Formats: sequence, C-alpha cells, structure tokens
Amino acid sequence: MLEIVDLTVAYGPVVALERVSFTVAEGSITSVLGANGAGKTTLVRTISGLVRPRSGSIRFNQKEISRLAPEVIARLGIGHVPEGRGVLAEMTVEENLRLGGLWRDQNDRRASLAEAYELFRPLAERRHLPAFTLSGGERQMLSIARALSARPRVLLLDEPSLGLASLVLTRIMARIKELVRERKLTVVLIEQNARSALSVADDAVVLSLGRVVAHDQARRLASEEGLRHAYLGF
Amino acid sequence: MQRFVVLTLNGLTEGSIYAAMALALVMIWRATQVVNFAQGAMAMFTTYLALFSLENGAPYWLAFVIALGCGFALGAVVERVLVRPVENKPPLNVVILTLGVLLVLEALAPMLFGGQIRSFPAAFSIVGLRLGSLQVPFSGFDLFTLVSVLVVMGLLLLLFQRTDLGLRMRAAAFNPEVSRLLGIRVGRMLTLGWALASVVGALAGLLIAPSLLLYPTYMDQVLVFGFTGAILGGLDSPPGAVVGGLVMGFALSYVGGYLGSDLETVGALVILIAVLMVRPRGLLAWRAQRVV
Repeated sequence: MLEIVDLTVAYGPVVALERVSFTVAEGSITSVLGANGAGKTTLVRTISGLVRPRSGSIRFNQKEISRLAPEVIARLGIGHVPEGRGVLAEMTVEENLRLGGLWRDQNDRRASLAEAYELFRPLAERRHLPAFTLSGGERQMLSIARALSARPRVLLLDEPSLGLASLVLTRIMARIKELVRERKLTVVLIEQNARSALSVADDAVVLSLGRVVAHDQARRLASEEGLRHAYLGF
Repeated sequence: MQRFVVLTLNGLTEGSIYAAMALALVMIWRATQVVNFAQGAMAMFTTYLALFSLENGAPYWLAFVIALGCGFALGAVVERVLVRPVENKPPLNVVILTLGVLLVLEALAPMLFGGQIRSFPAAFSIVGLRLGSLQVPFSGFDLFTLVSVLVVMGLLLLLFQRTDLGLRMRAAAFNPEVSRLLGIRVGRMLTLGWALASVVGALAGLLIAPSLLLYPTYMDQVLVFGFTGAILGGLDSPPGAVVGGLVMGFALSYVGGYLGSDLETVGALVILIAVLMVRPRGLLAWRAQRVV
C-alpha cells in the first residue's frame, strides 16, 4: 500500500532522515517509534507532501507521490492528523468536520458527520462553538474525527495520545482497529509511548537519529529486551 | 435639527462606501496578512476603465460590470504575480510592494486616461428623493449606494458562511498547512480572496466617483478612511470593518458639517489615534483572546 524506499530528507545541512525504507501493508497498523528528534514527524510530513525529500521515493498504490503537492496527496486518500495544532481554532466544530468531507457526496458527508458525533459525544454538544473553546483532548478528538470523515485509505496519526485521556484514546483506537478490519484502512501511527503503540500495531519501525534501526512485527519487537532498553525506554 | 438629519444621511451613504473599502482591506488582511495599500489605486484604475467604456459607447451598467470584472482580474493578478513571490519574505517587503503598485497605477492612469479632473455619471438621480411634499436630503443614487453595498456584504456573508467554497477560503486563510492536508488548494483560494476583495474595492470606487469626481488620486482619502474604519473594527473582523466604516462615515460627516470640511482628514487621524490608544485591538474586540 505504502512503499518507502531510500528516503532521505534534510533541512539545510541537517539530515533528518537517512535512506529510510519500509513497506506498510494494506489494512494494517504500523507504528513508528523512536525518541524525540528521531525523525518520526518528519517522516509523516514527508509522506503527506509537506516536506520535500532530498532523494528516495514514496509509492502509494504503486504511484510515486513524493513530488506531489500535499493537497493532491490528501485527495488521493492519505489523511494526516498533525501533532498538536491540527484544528482550525477560529472555525466551529461542525465547520472543522465539514472540512474533512469536502471531496465526498452530500449523503456520505451527512453520514460521516453523524458518525463523528456518535463516536465523540463532547463534539456533538459543542458543534456550533468555535474550536478554540475546546480542551486539548477535545481538539485532538476533533482533529481525528475530521481526518476520518474524509474516509482516507491511509491514515497518518502523529501522537494521537497527546492530551487525550487514556479511556478516550482506547475508544478511538478501538474504532480505528474496526476501520482497519472492515474497510482495509491502513494506519501509520507515531507514538512517544512505545508500550501502548506496540499493543495496537501489527508492525513497528524504530527510528533513531533518522535511520531505521529495527522493523518487525510489533509483538516480536516488544519482546526484544535489548532493543526496548536501547530505543524504547521500557 | 434639520442639519443633523442631513449630515446623518450623508454619513450613512459615505460610511457605506468606507465600509466597503474597509471590508476589502479586511478580506485581504485575513487571507494573506497583507494591508493592501494599493486597494484605493486599484479601484481608481477600474473606475477609469468604466469611464473609458462609457466614452466608447458602452451603456452605464455594462461599464459598471466591466469595472467590477476588471477589479476581479486585477486583484487576482496582483496576488498571483506580485504578492505570491514575497509571501514568505519579511512583512515589510509586501508593504513596500503594495505601495509600489499604488505608485505605478497612479502614474499609469494619467498616461492612459489623462490627468485632468473628470466627472463620472451616477446610475440614478442625485437629487433628493421626495416623500409627498417633503424633499429629503437622500437621493436615489444614495439609496442605490447603500443597497448595493448591503447586497454585496450579504452575498459575501452567504459565500463565507453557507458554501463549501467559502469554507475552503476561510480555512486557507486561517491555517494554510492544515488546509492543504485536507486537500484544499490554498494558493487558489488566496488568489480568489484577493480577487473578490478587489471587486468590493472597485464597487466602492464606482459609487464614490460621482461625488468626489475622478482623478488619479481620488481614492487615496477613501483608502485612508476605509483603513481607519478597518482598524476601528479590529482589522480581522468583517462585521467590525462594516461597523468601523459606518462610524467613520458619520464621524467625518459631523466633523465636516459642524467644524468645517477642512478638518475631515484631521478628524480621521484623531479617531485613529484615539482608538489605537484606548482599544488597540479594535472597537469590536469583545471576543475572548483565542488560545492556540
């Protein structure tokens, strides 16, 4: 589904990703782990087109996307929930959600709006309030709900646990796992908290200083003590 | 009392034009964080194009539409060709750039259309309307001015609040990066924002030309008054711009009427300084500071 080959990204002289290669299978959850500064966010920003790679390729369904503009990549079906500031604070909750479904037909949009409100009750209560009135956790919900209303085929989640109560996070991840099973949604999940990420992911990639140091099934990585101590901190 | 009524009605008409000008400035400010100092000159230029069309036999309404259409195109071209390349440069660059556009247009106009003062026709009578035997100091053209500005504002409100296109334009202005991740072509939305704002500016130019007369710098003071109105409203609030523009219209009309018309510009300056000292975020800054 998503093939990353020899991807190198640099900000001026600083190399953020060096020859990163891995493949994400359709209908699976791949977790990208690593310490701060390992290049996790750069990786997903490069996939969604916000950052131009210096070299290497990203293929989505056999199509080369690494030189496309972010808005084109988004319309191909790659959704990106950015870290932290993903909501449009000046717009209402409902307007934010409508922005997720811009490219789909009316019925579909109504359905996904209803679905978002069912999954995230607090959003339904605040639907006509500007998003800046929401708490950090509610904003995160809104950001995820908006990405889901686009019905993406690939979902890039950058630190979804940030600011979310663990109960809410569990519900969101349960819903995402359902979508992975039912609609063959493909997920790339970035997490600081390696333990919880490994518990939901099928595969995991561990980055350190811009390089892939491990890529394996999540449960196998979780059992490798040396790796856990060296890179994952548990 | 009668004098007060006359000044109030006059303030309402001029205020609606300042409101249109303020709205154009605010739309561009919100879209691209640029104060378009060339807004008045652009409107001057499109009004000259209307006059040129009239002189070449076009009927009034066709000339009117031509001016608005050219306003749309001019706004789009200025954004796409001139503003876009300096988008990520220091903000001063784009300020200088819009001042440059102002100078170029004000130099070009006399070359193309002649520099002398010209009269510009009004769509309707400029003689006060009659209510029974009473003649009120409010003409058919004043009514047209007020109504057309209201209609344009209503249409913009509908566009921004009720349509997907408006939603996309607002999102692109608020947060370009997130908008792109949602599939919105941000550049195109910003160009459209400039184009629409320039239509509003062009409308203001057409509406005030019959009373100010047409010459290359006739819109400069309208820009200053509109800009003051926009600042009164807080610069990033469209309703604030409308209220600010109207406040300017009334205030300047009273200053001109009771204290002498020479003091109008000074009056605008006093209002501007007073607001910046007392409510630097605008008269309508009741809204809670947003937390990001």
